[in-house]
Amino acid sequence: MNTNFTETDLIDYLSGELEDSKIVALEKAVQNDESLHQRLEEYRGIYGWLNSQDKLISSYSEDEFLRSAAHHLQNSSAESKSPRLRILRYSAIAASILLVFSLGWWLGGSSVLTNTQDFASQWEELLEGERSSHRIAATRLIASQPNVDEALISRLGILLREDPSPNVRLAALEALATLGQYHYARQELIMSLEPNGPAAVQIQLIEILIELEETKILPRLHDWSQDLSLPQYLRDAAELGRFKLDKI
Amino acid sequence: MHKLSFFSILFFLLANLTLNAQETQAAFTINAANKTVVFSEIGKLKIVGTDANEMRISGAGPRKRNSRAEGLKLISVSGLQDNTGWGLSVTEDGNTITVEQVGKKNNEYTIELPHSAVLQYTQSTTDGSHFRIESFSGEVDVTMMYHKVYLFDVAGPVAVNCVYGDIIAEYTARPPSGDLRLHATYADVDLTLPAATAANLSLSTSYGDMYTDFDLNVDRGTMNEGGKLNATINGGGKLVSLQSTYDDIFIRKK
Amino acid sequence: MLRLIICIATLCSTNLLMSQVKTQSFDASDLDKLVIHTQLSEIILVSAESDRIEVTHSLWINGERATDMQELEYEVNEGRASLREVRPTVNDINDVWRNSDGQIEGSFQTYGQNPAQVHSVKSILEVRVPDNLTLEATSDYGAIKGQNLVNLVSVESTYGLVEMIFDDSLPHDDLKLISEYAEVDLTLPDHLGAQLFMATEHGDLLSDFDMEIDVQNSQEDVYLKRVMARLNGGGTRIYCSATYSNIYVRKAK
Repeated sequence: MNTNFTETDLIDYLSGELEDSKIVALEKAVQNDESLHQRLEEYRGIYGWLNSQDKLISSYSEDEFLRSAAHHLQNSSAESKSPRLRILRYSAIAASILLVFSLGWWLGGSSVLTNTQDFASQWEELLEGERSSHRIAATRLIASQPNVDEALISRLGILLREDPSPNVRLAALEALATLGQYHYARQELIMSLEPNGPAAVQIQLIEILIELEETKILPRLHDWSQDLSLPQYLRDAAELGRFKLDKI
Repeated sequence: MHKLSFFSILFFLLANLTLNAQETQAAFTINAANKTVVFSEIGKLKIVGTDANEMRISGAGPRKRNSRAEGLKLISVSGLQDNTGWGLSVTEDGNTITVEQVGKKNNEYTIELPHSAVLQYTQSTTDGSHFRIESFSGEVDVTMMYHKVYLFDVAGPVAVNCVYGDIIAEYTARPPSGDLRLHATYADVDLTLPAATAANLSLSTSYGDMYTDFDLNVDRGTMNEGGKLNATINGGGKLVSLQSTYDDIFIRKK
Repeated sequence: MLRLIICIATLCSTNLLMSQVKTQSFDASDLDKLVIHTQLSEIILVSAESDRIEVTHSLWINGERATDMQELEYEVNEGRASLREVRPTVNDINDVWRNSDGQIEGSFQTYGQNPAQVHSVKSILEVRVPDNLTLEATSDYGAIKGQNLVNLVSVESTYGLVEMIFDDSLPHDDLKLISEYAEVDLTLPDHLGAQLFMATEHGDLLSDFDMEIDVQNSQEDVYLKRVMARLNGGGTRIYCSATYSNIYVRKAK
């Protein structure tokens, strides 16, 4: 199996977006590599089906589809043998194609991607986007994955603490809360509990940590509730949070 | 009480002396097409979408002019200059236009903003008043501390957070065309949508209630004791995320 | 001997000016300082090349001269003269406005709703001050206005406007201009140096000067503005405060 060609390369090839130099190499590899040939045909079939559909995903409302796409892309190296897995694999391929197009739409208003960036760089691009809606979209995309690595969780933590838009911070907070099963996500949330920042985010962060029953923050809430140098809203939220956590 | 009444007369007379008759003043315009326009700590602001490329700043009604202030500029430690004639500083840096209040925040403004612009607004003090956006198709990112936010036919994507003020959004003709995220901490979130709106709802309130006359298709798996649920209306569509931590959520059919 | 003469003069001049005469004149040749206070009257200060203090006290109620309600007190003590308005008082005015039911009709609330009930009051204390006298003026409700008073050191009104004009010279010493609820309006020569301290909590600061703002020692937040600035490199120190209103610093024309 020729491992030099990624799913993105195959999709780009089918959509006519692959660089000329790679096209020749890919076609040659397909002739010599049966598994690669099979993969390309699978993609071709699904790509054809997608092209026959009038509907092209242009929103993150298709959560489930994107989630499964991201999941299967992460596990794309695993060979699928059983019929059920095969179906899942087909779904993954379809989803990946849809995801490529949806990201392309989101980033540039175009339904066609113009390069061979992998999905990590797509998230990266969303996260680095000037528009807050892009960064919010990135948080949702990350949170929709079943498996999220520490690096991405760390990026969410940075957004939560540093993004200039409080709405993006709230979205990052929401994403981290949905990833509350991860130790790292909880760490990022606790690390973000600082007495400065947008009011709505600070109050919501306290609420989230209470829901997660993070009693580790009790001493900090106690200090804040007594600190007259802090804004009244924060002292009130800390006092209320302390009261609720005490009951846990 | 006597002193009060006497002083009131004097004050009234003084006010009449210092405040001339209301006058009409030319609007300030600047090209804002495809730019990010950041509004910061403005008094009472209404944004109205426009097909034009120019952002147009004017008062809400004739502006009260202070004859003593004629020919004088506001002194600002931060260096802000009223370069609009409306008590606002407008500066441009690359693709970003920043609009800031210079001096007291008791003026009312109506600003026409190109649909292609990205609107960002921050109001963090009790100064000023509520913020209103009407018939705007661009992206909206609002952070409000104390005052209410009203959205009328704002296509989106929209993200609004407000700590103490209600967020009231109404779509009369068409549903939002971008994602809609409304987050209030101690106040209501009240959304009115056309009855045929297809949307994915993400609703959350820790201490309030949720009310709707839509038929929700609730994802039972997302319901928890914390007052969160996901649902679809009319088969699902754009994201509508509503959160009111300590108060109620209303979703109404238009 | 001189001390005795001054004491006798002081005793003689200490009187209540209740006469119908609206203009009064006092010898100021042995005075260093004049302190003026009114409760209601607007104070108009005029600098004069004279050794006499000339006082004109005028009162109009509903557009008509009222001469039976004016009362000034003038005292001299060790070179310091005090001119104080005894009447009219707030109660005097309210008594005029009180109807048969005991209600005061001249209130803000009735203004404009029933023009027949509208009352107005205009009370002015004009003082021509020898230009060598150090001068202080305060008022509870009245505005305080003056021009080219180089020995003025302090002006303070609780509810009234403070308006001071310096056309071609500056105060010889530090000057303090304060109004709690109304505006402070200061005009200065555009070519002379001054150091300004301006403070307001609910108003604005406005000027047509190119001020050199001392950012390090100035403060501006949501409500409070405290600005230290130099004009033409700095010089005479002038402190302006209008807690609830605006401060204007303008160039003399």
